[in-house]
Amino acid sequence: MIELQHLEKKYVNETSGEIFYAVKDLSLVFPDGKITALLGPSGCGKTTTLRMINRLIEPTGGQILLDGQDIMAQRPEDLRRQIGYVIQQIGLFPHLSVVQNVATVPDLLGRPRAQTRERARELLELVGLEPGQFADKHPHELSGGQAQRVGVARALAADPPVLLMDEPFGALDPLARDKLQEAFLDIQRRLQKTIVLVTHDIDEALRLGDRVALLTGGELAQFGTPNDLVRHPESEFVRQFLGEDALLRQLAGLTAAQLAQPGDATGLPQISGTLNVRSALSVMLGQRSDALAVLDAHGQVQGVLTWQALEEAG
Amino acid sequence: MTVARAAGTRRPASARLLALLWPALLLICLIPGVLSNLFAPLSAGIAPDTGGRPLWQLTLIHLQLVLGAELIVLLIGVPLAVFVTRPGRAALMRLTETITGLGQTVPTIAILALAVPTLGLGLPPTVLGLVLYGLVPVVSNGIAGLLAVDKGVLDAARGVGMTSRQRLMRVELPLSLPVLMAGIRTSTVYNVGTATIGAALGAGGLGSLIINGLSQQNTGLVLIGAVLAGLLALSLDALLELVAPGGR
Amino acid sequence: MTPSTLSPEVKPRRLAAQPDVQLIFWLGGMLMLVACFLPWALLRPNRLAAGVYQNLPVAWMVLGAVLALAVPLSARVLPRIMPLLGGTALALGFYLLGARMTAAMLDQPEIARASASSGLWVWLLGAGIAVYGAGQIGLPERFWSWLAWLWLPVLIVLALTGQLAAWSVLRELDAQQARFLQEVGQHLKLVLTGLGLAVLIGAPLAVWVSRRPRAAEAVLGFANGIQTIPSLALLGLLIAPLGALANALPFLRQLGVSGIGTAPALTALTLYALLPVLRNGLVALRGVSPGALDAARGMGMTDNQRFWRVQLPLALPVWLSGIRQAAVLLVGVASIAQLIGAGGLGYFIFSGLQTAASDLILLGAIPAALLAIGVDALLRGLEVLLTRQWGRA
Repeated sequence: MIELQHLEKKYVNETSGEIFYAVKDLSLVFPDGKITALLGPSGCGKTTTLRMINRLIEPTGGQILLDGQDIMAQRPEDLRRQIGYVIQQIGLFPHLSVVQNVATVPDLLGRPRAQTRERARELLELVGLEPGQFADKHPHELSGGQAQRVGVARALAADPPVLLMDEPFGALDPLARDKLQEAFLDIQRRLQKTIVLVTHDIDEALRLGDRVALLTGGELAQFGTPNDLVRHPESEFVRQFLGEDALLRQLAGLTAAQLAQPGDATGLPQISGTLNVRSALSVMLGQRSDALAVLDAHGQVQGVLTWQALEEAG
Repeated sequence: MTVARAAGTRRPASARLLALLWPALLLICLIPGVLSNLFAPLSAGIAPDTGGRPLWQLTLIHLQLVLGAELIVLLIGVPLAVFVTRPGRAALMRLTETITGLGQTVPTIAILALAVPTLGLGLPPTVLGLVLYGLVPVVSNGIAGLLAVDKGVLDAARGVGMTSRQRLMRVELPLSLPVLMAGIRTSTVYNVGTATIGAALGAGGLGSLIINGLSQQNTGLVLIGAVLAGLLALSLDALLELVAPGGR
Repeated sequence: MTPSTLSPEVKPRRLAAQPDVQLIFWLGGMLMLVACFLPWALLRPNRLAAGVYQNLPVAWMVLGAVLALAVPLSARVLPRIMPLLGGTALALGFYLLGARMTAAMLDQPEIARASASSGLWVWLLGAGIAVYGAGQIGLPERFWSWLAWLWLPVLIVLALTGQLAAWSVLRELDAQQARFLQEVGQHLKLVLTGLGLAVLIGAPLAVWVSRRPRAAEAVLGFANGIQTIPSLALLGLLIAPLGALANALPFLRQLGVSGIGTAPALTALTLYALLPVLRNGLVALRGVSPGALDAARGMGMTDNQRFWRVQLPLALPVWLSGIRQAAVLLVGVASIAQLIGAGGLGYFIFSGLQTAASDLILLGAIPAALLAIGVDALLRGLEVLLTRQWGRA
């Protein structure tokens, strides 16, 4: 568990003496095994907050506790080796092969070479890269999506309980981003890491985050589940930032299978369970039907998605 | 990701063979009798007197001077480039760049000559001149290479928990190596020329053939020295290009 | 948010220079401190004999040490006075050059020589670094910054009033004034002619090959190879062919072509300057944005008009920097042209080396160094001017 207590980062302009708070009195708890998205406009302090957790930036006030321990008690390098770190520019070492990149942290920790190589290959498989094909390539030979998969594998290499991700999908085209987000959720379902994810993309935060912390001007605007934020915005800023179509956006993040209920599906138009709810809605409107049969991956009826269920979700 | 790596752009075998052309020519010219007989007509018909020393020995002295100075240059230049590119030393880096810029501007012979009143004649001022002049490209390329390392890569290196020393050894130096090597190549080629001029100060080497030839009005002797010095520079340039592809 | 310009500590306003600039003042100050305890003058009974080193008088030593320590220390508390302090230190160095040499020559016969020694040179270096550091503080007030130039009027006044005349190098100059002016003229003539020829040949060649990539590669390869050859070797290599040419064709000899002298020197200088002129010309001409050229075509310019009105003006600043590199290079090569009898400032350097007269060596080396630095600064200024006028290419 990561706990921020009255965290503060201020900068002082030397000539004017002006004080600027990048982060101000921020208290937050990132639950174990969940993804918490730090969301906000640029300059809201979300990246500063993230970088304070692994001490790439030193706080000027407050505390950060990692499993109850003050992070300042450790040497920063040791702290960072226990925390996975993925950044937008990917930051792969261009002079090292894919496998050497992934094995960086275990190497730094002095683990036996053969073992780390083996583990690196497993991780490549986990992030969906065929080790035989990719292990010995260099970063410049990879596509953006492939490189970011390697970035994720590198962050996971020492099996850290905590993962920090700074706009990890920001540099990708929409198609690759979609695929990688899906793969990422899949990995997280298996590994259950405690993940802090910085993003300015509302859809990404609502889709990936178990919790969302919306920041503005270095302060917390609202913290809660995506549902909380969308349905019960605590301020005008939150409402405006999420936008009028927040509900639809959230629906886009839900799949038909998630809202399907048991029921009689005979004669209903059929849709795949992986379809998002927004698309399901348009099928419903197009077919002039107030219920749809939801199929699972094997084409078996999984349940029924009703208009009423949609209304309740929305 | 943004730093392209030279791997995969290996030059074709034919180009690499061509690079051995100059060293091969140099070796042929060093066979006793080849050059002196070739240029005998220019020295009143008699083979030019090279001062009792075989040509290969003079070439070796020259090479020793160049490589020895280059070693000192590396021992000073690389740590210096690293030192001034660490955080919090921006002004010191600008000072270093200004001074190396000046060093590049001042004529070689002037640097050598300015050292003479303090250091006397012979080897000491020549070595000082070689080192000072050779430092310029190594330091400026070293700085440029280290500054060019992608900020995202450095951030990642910090983020995965590398200490500043590990960052330097594992990331910054390997990534800046191609640029640094280009500087070393330039510096070595410069040094062949500086060492040639150093003969005017009595440092020995191939320049002494040219200087002696000029003062004795012996064109053959001048040509022997000039051909060998030229070939030595072209050879070192070609050989270092093999190790470090890319422009000087 | 720009964290780099902000520091995490609270300060009402800036009192001290930035830590990295303070490092420069430490470096300068320490050099000046060391200089105080090194010998400043060397007195020799005549211009060739060995001599006796003289230290600074104790009073000057103490004053110098105080000034040396004041530089890094006041950088912490009074950054505003740093230009004044640096300028004063440098001016003091020049004053002491005159004063110490005059003192050393007191009661000495006319043929004795007093030359500056390591202490003076190290002091000038340290003070120069302090002046440089003062420029790095970024003081908001223009007036205080200008004080760093204090040394220049001091130097000029010292030189004009003859205060420096006791210095051995100026004694040497005094003895050979006519020859000095002649060799400086010859040096400039070599550089300017060589540069002019290189531009006359290189500029059209660059334009021609800029449209022919294969030819460009060959031409650049050739010029690159020429520049790899040591300058002295190149001078030597040109003796035989030019000498043979002059022997075979007597009318050429009447034109001044021979193996020794100005002709081979100019040939070597021209060949040497060709590479920077060519390379930067190519880079500059190819670097002109295709958008600008396309717009020019769209406006109905002919090929010729496009070249003269768009491509060339846009390429000129970059090209000029190649010409500057060539000019600086030529000042250096011209310095060794004396070896093949072409004269120039190298005359003093090499005669000095032959007779082991270090004042004579310096009489050639110092002006050669200053000439190179001056040429560099002049052409840099021209580049800035052109860039400002035409915008960046």
